[in-house]
Amino acid sequence: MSAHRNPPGLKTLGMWLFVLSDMLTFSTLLVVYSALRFANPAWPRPFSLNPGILFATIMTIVLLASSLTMVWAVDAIKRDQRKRTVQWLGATILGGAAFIALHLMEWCHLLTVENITPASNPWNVPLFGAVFFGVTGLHMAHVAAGLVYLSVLAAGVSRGTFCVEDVETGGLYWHFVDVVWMFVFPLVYLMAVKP
Amino acid sequence: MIAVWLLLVAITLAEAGLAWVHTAPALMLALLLLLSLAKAALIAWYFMHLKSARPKHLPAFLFTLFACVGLLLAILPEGIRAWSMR
Amino acid sequence: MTVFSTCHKVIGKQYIALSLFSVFIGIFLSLVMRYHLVHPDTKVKLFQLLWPDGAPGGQMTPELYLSLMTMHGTIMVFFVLTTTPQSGFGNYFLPLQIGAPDMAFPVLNMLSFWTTALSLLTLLAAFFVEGGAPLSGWTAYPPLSGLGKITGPGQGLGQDLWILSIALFCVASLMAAINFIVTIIELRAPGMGYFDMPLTCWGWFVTALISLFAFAVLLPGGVLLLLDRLAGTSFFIPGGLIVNDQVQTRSGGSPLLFQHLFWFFGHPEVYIAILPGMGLISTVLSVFSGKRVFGYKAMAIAMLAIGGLGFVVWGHHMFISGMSPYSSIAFSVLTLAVGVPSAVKTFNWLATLWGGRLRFTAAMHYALGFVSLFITGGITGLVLGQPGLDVYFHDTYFVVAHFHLIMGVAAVFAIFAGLHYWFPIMYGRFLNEQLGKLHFFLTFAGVYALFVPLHFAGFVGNPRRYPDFKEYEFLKSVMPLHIGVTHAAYFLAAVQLLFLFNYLWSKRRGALAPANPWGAATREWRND
Ligand code: HEM
Ligand SMILES: [Cu+2]
Repeated sequence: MSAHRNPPGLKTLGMWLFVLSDMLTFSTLLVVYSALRFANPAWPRPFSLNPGILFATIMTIVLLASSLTMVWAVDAIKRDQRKRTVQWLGATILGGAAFIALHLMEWCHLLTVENITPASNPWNVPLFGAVFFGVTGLHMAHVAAGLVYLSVLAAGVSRGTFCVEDVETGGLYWHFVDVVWMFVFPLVYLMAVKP
Repeated sequence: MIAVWLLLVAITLAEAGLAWVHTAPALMLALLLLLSLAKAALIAWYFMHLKSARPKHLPAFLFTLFACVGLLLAILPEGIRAWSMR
Repeated sequence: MTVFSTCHKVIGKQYIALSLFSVFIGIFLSLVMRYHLVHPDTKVKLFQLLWPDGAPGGQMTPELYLSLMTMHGTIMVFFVLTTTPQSGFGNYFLPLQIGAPDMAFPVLNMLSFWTTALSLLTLLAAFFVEGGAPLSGWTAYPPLSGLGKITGPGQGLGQDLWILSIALFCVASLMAAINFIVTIIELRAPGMGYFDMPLTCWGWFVTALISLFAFAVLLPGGVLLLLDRLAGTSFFIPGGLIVNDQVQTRSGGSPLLFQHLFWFFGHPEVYIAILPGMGLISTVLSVFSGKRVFGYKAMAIAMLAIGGLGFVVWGHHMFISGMSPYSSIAFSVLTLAVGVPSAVKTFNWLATLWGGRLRFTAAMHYALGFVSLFITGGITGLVLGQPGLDVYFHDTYFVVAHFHLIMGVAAVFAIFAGLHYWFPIMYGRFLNEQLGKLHFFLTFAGVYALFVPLHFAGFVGNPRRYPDFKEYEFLKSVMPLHIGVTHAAYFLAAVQLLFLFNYLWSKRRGALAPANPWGAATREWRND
């Protein structure tokens, strides 16, 4: 039984299924957000253009950049350049870490300077903070998990235990985290820009 | 790939631009959703390699996903009702 | 057999063992509840021993009753009905039936089992923390479940653990679903098309598809509820609540929203419990009728249809919760539409029997019992699916009777049928047939004696989730009925020991089974 080898494409399909299921999870959160916003007409729109939106835009571009380096990592492993692969994975991890760092800076700013917390805020619509921290927090958790995942991947690639499909699967996960942010950014940030 | 990436950045900037010029919320929501779907599609098509390799039955799974999201949207009227009942 | 085995057969047996353990806890809790309902004022030493805070001096508090109810429902739905038919039987027999060497991701498979086990331990831990187990039922509606200790003992740490347990269960089920789907799509034996798979595989396939999307919605629902409790958010907590004479400060949230998320998962969940059983029953009926399943393709498509329709009927659990009446109409029509594929299945089962050379083995008995329960329980579903009737019946014992017959006992009968049918493969021996048939008849009689009267209690308007009926004048008339029901419950529980004995005894001493004792045609019986 152990001599058996699974056909290629198994992991890819598995990861796609995970991605679809997790997309529904995030969609649920965004639907919850929409329903609550409908029910609370006085929903605050606190983000200034500068620094608020500008900062979030920079975060978005950092995350996008890490997707690009991930693409190159997959390209490299396909050409069997393991060292290159590890380097690009490293760059991706760096991008993800930068995103988290920026994000945490922003959170701190909101919590301490603007007094927006998960349970309260100056406009007396506590749900604003709940949604903001809930949605971005869950996304950040996915980025953080991705960092661990990519690190394991990088270690495995440099030891030679992981093959092309493993890196591709990791790429799928990472791009998916990016896709999610492509919806979080406009709906959570841009739709709450100061009027 | 770089071209795709630049396009993604450009769309991102365009989205931010919509906020910059203070587009009316309803219009802005519609435009943002469209642009975001376009970005998601670009990432899926090029970065996630849908262009070259498609996992089996993906259309069926995607359809199910969209159907579920569509269904969940049935929750929204409840939000509006809560509002009008106040 | 190692503990952290990645072999699908071992994992399958582990799942079955886990739910066998769970089912006896669940039964015990239900007996305590049934006892209390007819002896609300009797002091019982054992209760005091087990729950010193919940039963001071042996007198059960209403809160303790509710916490037993919560744990009973949660254990039964998640750790019995969701666990054995899908993960237990599925892991063991899916690879064998489609000719795959193992599941697609053996390590993931091992992880999903151990996550399930962790989830069970987390749930049971709720009994032992301060305040005890939560009170809010297996549906955990906020605000009761969202506000913490102030809403009752058990609503503190106990409820946190409950939510954590369910979240873990979601993760485990998602991993399992991915594994099942990939295995079926990619690892079928060469030349085996989807419509060449046995119907059991169709049951597991559709169930996995449902899980993939249903648990994905429950998970965020649970996470948000946990945030409401731990981070002070108010996703599901409306403004202006007064709890135990204290004004609550939260505002803006919507309890209805949670109900939507819960039932978006909750109704598909009932199909998660029953679809694997449907597949299995089709096989058993066909093998012991000596005929092919009547209308094989229609059966497979009906399962897909049931799975799909299952996602558009969740609102029938919310007819009286303040949802828009227009939504109620839509949900009602869609709910009744589920009757169509369900009827297709039922008639095809009957047609499979028609003109066959029937062999009344123990497994066949349970299969026939399943069909019976599916009909009796399904018909009351049609009653409840109509808002006009449901306004009256909702949250009465009529609903309790409905879902116990169709979901609870029907799925359990499928488990019995499966164990009798597949025991020769799992242990190389037979479960004792005579004992099995005896157990069937006693259980069948006990089940109907228990649940049929509960419909009548529902007619009177007897509410469910009440710990004590004697305070209510209009319930005086149903007390004799409840006494009878409680006796039926004792009887039914006692009879299950027969099965336990049969299982443990036959494992070691049962009659040795030849290679393909039932003359079945599916692959798992081939010797290789
Ligand atoms: C034609 C088929 C069915 C119809 C029309 C139907 C309809 C309904 C309706 C309308 C309710 C809500 C009653 C209320 O809370 O007031 C209900 C409850 C329930 N049904 Fe069904 N049902 C069907 C089949 C099933 C099946 C196959 C299962 C399980 C395998 C099931 C399990 C349940 C459960 C567990 C509940 C109670 C949930 C709770 O409130 O705790 N039903 N059903
Ligand atoms: Cu339902």
